[in-house]
Amino acid sequence: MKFLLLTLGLVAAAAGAVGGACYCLGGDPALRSAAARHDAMAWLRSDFHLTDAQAGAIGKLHAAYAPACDEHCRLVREAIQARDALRSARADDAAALAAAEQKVRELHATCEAALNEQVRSVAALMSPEDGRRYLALLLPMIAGYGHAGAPDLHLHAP
Amino acid sequence: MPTPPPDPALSASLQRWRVAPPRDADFRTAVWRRIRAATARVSWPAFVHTHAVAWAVVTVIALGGAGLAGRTVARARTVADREALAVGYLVSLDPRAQAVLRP
Repeated sequence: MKFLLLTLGLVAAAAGAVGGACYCLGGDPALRSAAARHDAMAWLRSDFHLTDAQAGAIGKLHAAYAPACDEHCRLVREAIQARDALRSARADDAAALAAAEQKVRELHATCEAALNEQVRSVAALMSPEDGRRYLALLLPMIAGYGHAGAPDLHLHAP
Repeated sequence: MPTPPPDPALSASLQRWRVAPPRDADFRTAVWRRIRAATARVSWPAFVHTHAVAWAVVTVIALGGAGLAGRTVARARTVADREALAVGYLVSLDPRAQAVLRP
């Protein structure tokens, strides 16, 4: 019985060591590090094999996009607030509510188009294969935003 | 082969024969002592060697399963990390998400 337990213990320890080694070797350390630091640029660099020049160009592209993003964000927020005010007022003005809903939809469509253009511009700066992977990952998420809802404050997709 | 007829003299001798061995008071203790000594001599390598095939099968299954599980968990974590980074990245670029998340 003592030898049986000893042997089982040794096999379990060896299995744990092998499992741990496969876990460490099977992952992507750069991706894990970027995820731990919530560093999107580090992720882009490692996952899409960016050179320093490509990363710099993408950083500039994002910086140039930021003011337009902020402006769109402001317009969307105001439109949502106006629509929500109409909803909570329980006013019997269906036409005004419909117009407010339509404005939110139009702004969402504008934002989606701008974002699509932005990620396509970023993809164009990558190598063709990496650009394809980048678009294949992001475009469905952009298109699915309205159907799945916004991510939560911890940035988890719904 | 036919059975020979019984020998009356032999039968009588066998009926008179009595065995009276000397009593050994330590017999039982000695038997147990020898059993314990034999058990103690079995070493762990001998135990494993005795069941070598079974232990080899158990070891291969355990190590293979653990390796597969480790690799599967690592890949699942890579996928989850990539998705979380992509969501965070898109949120930073998407005014629709910004409008919802910003105070």
